[in-house]
Amino acid sequence: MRPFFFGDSAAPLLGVMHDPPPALARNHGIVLCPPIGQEHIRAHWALRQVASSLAKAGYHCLRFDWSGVGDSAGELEQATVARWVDDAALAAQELRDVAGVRTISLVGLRLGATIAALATGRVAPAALVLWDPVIDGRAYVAALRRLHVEVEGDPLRYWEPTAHKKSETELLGFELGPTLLADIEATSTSGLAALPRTKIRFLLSSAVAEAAELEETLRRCGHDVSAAKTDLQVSWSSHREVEDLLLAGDAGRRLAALLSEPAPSEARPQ
Amino acid sequence: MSSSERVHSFGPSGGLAGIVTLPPGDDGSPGAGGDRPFVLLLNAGLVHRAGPFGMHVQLARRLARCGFRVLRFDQAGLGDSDARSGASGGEEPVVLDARDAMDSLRTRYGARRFVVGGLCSGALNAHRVGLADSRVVGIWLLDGYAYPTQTYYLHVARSKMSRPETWLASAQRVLTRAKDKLGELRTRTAPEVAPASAPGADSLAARESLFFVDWPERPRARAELETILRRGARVLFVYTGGWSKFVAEEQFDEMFPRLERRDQVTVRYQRNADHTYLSLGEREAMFRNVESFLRAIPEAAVDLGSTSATTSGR
Repeated sequence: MRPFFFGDSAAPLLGVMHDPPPALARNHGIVLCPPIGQEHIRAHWALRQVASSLAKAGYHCLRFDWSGVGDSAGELEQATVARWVDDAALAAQELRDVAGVRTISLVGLRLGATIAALATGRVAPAALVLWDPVIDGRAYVAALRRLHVEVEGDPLRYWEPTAHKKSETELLGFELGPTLLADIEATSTSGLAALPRTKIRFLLSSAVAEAAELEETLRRCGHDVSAAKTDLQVSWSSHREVEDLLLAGDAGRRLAALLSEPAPSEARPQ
Repeated sequence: MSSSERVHSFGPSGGLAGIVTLPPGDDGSPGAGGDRPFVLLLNAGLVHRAGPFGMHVQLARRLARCGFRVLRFDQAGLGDSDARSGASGGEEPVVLDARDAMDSLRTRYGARRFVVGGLCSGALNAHRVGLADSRVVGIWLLDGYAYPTQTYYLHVARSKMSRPETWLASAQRVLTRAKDKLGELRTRTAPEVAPASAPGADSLAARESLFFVDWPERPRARAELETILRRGARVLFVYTGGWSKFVAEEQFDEMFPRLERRDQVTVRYQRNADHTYLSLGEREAMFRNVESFLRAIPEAAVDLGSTSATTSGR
């Protein structure tokens, strides 16, 4: 596990490399795209576990934080979805350069999956894995707003139910700002349909109708699509769980299985 | 000009990970930081170094803008830090981690004095580090140890009389605290942690102590606090309304009557804040409390004595 900053030195991104054992190393790197906001905090430990698990399976793994998220430079409210798509492309290039791999796959969790989907045209990944993806940005923001109201009214959290927000764009401990919120609301995975044939995998912790619909749409569009269920027990919409940290469960093993179909350019170094 | 950040690896085999935030214009050279103490932010429970709702990142950058150098880091086995292997020699794990951090900052930045802060389990850990290492000239505890007193019982009784609808909520609060959220996490974590003997495994035994907040009994807390204060260190306690055992600033003096060197202690109570400062307004108020506390620490608060600067006989 090697943490480092990469990208523009004036606004660097935090990355953490997980190297595979040399004897098992594949010519294949995986960029793990995290969620944002409180979901990012909750997912950190699970993504560390998943990255370690995938590295043990021979993949070079790069975890990173988006601009304005986690330890990367910038303020969340000044971030944009377009900037995050740039970040994903930059992380993929960084992994290619650092690990010397040609083949890259993208694994995204929640909004990270949505951004990874948007970056697919630029990164040309061997596989795109959508893990509990945010399929519709507007519904996602609406859910955040609802969750925030429930948290503020929780008698286990506050002595008295009070409106604590400084602004309408303060959601679950983070200031997202009107621009970013509008940006996220306009985000969706619908653009995937128009991409050239791509290997797309879904990893879901619960059955979601929208994910099943997207899966079917992508299949009809000619993409190579399949899905797996993980035993990860997580609720993304319970106000009592907004601070519960995620544990990876069998996600690492499931992801390795989803990615195991070798891409044409993938081969172990001699 | 904005502050800059650097990733550092330190400790055994470089397995501990942290990020230093430097004030604007500070190139990190040993003399550039002046005599201001270096600030260390400890993990809150199992949350990685970014802190609950990312508060440590915000706080580090804010304090850097005020001229303080800040390290936020992951203790062994948490966040992006490796678990520590081998015996601890009887030391608290956090003390070993914090000493490794301070030693590294001494080497890299010439830091000689430190202020350590944390929330919940991080508060207790700040207390432990402050007690163990005389390089620490200040600690702050967010929802640190609290003990019921007359003020507390009166407050609870008044609250129940005036708002019967809160009885259920109060009972739930007590039950929830008793269950301890972090303990619940431990239970959920346990099956996934590989055996300590497995290569590269996180040792459950080594990490277990990080999951529970084992608050000291009041006499011990008092004795240890006075040891820290006698050394000249400053202490800030910030309590929230989300912490059910503390209800008013005057409760502190009831908890520790006639505390030695009481003038070195600052107590603040933020009734409308929750335990992890979800509300940005309350978080901002807490940041102001911490900032004021740091600014008030004298340039030469304590006689550092020898360069070994530890009190534990290490």
